[in-house]
Amino acid sequence: MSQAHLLGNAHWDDYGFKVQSMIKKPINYGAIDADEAHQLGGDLFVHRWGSPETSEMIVLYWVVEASTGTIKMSRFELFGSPVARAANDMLCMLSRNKKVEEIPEITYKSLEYFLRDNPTTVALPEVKQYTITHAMTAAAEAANAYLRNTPDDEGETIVCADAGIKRTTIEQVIRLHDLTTTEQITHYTKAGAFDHRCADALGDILRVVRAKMAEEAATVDVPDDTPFAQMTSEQQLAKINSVIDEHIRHFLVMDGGDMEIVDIKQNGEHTDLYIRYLGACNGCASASTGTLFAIENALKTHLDKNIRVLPL
Amino acid sequence: MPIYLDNNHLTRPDEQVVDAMKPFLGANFHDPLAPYTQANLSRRAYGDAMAKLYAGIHADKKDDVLITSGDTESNTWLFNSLYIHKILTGKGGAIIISERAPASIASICTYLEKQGAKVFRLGVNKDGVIDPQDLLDYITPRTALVSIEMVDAESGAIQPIEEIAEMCAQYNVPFHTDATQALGKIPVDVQRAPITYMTFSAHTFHGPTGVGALYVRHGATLEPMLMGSPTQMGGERAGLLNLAGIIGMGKAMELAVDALEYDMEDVRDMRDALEERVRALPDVTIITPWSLRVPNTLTFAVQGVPAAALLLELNRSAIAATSATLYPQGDWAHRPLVDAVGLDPALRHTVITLALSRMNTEAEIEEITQALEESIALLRDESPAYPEATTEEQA
Repeated sequence: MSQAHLLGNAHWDDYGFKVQSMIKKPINYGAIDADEAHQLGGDLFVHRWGSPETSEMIVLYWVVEASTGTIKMSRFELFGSPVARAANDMLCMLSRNKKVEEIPEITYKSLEYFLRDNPTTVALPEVKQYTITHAMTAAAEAANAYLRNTPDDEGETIVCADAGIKRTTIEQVIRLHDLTTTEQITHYTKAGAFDHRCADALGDILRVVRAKMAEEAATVDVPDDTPFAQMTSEQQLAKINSVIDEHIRHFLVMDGGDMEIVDIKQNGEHTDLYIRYLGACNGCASASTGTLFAIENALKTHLDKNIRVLPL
Repeated sequence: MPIYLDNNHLTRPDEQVVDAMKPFLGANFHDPLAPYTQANLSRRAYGDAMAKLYAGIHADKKDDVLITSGDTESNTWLFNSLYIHKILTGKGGAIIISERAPASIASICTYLEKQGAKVFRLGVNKDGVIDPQDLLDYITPRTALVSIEMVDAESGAIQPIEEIAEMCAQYNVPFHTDATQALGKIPVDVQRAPITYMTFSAHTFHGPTGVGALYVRHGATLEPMLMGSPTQMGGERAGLLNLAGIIGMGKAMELAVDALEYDMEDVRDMRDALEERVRALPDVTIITPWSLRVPNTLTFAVQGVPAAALLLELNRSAIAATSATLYPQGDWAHRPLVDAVGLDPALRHTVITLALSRMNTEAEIEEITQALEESIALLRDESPAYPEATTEEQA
């Protein structure tokens, strides 16, 4: 426990300005009908996630351009905690002009950063982080349903009936946030929030995943003295991501933008990093000059002088 | 003006209670158990307050009213004592509690279950009330304890504890009741039924927070909880007495018992006026019939409207209310109320509780109803879980 834990931090007035205003007036709230979709030059795709029984139901409305698979418009309807409005609203904004197959690739971190008022203050208290997980799970499932990808059966098992959360989601969340306790799993997924009996099931999953993670860490962990060029591309990606998180991302997010890594390619002695700008960065005049140099410089200073950054 | 409707959780201390406490937070700070003359005022006030507490619940002078820090401590004390005294020694068998037991009892029973104790939970019927006959399926002369709350904190349902206490007496099984939600709302009298132990807390009847009591009938066993001076609470719960708290609780008890005669009638009238307006709203289910409920509570499910969103809307109108389904603050208990009374599971997360007190006014009722009507209409309009929205979508 900690002082913050003892003080409790789930007060309605504690949310940042951005989250507050999205709770009050979400921009992308409401249904889209088929006619509206046609006018926008796409087909309507509706996906329902969750149910009132499990405290959260998200209905996503996408207008998808059939020829390119691009989401022209994205809106949502919600039955659930008002805080979830903010997460879903932001996710709808981020989904616009993306291809459906790119939706599951939106990272938790970027969504969370977009909800922040300033780079250093987290947008939501830990107990409300589940709203982001739910929004992202709903969108990823919608994308899979659209693309008719069938997920594996075991991952589909619902662990806690009270929250309707699938096993895969819990596993992903443990890895993503490096969770170590079942209470944390509850904060990030709401599984076990009300039905305390599923703590045992969550504990089992936690043990299995932590064991797997420890095993993987033993093989993936890079000694600090390994030169950047000799790392595998997964290791490189992890290093680049950590540098971007530490030195770059908060500047972009503060201006309402963000970036994501699309690909890494070895090009002779150079490592080419393909990135895509998001939000306000996309189309910003500085994106191909100052910002780009800042990103490249940070990577060059902290990782390897032969990294080149290429915005798409 | 802000309107406070979370009175089953915590009530505002009465001005008279605050005034009674004030001197004992300052100049009259003395330990009432000290032998010197300076402590006389404290000692007298302590004696008066205890007399009010005994009188308030009609306890016999031979019985104990042990002061604790509140209902949670009292319940924890009793159950821990029971575990040490009866279950560990093999003298007693199972514990029987209500499915709707308050969080402190539900949690300690879950804990004791892990230690090997056997716990049975009695369900409630569609009205939110326990059928005393159900007890016969579980009770044996070896049962360690039966504990049923006097009033359900969420639904306000009054449990038939007199009948249950009589049954326990027939089996010679100790009976405990948590009267935290009952005091100041309905008559509480330990002489009317063979109640062995009873818990209450000052914060639900306009007393201060952080003080409560455990009533123990003469002759009933209880293990000491806090060891220390043998003079403090008879050595059962050592530590300096929370004098101001005890005096505040005594005053609050006196007022609560007085207020039952007339103030509670006013509260009932206000609640009924509110209930009538809520009942008139479409697709709203009031849980627990009027006649089985304490006079201050109104708990209802609003189809298609998540409780968290409705409470936030009410908060914008400066109305503070609560719901057991609010996460992480809510106290969901063992099973959601909606499931316990057998309503549609889709209503699980739509239940809110409005709990009034004698501090509310008639003018506020109008404001509350307006805010409720507007908020519900607004939220239903945009809810994907409300039928009208669904039909629109299908069309």
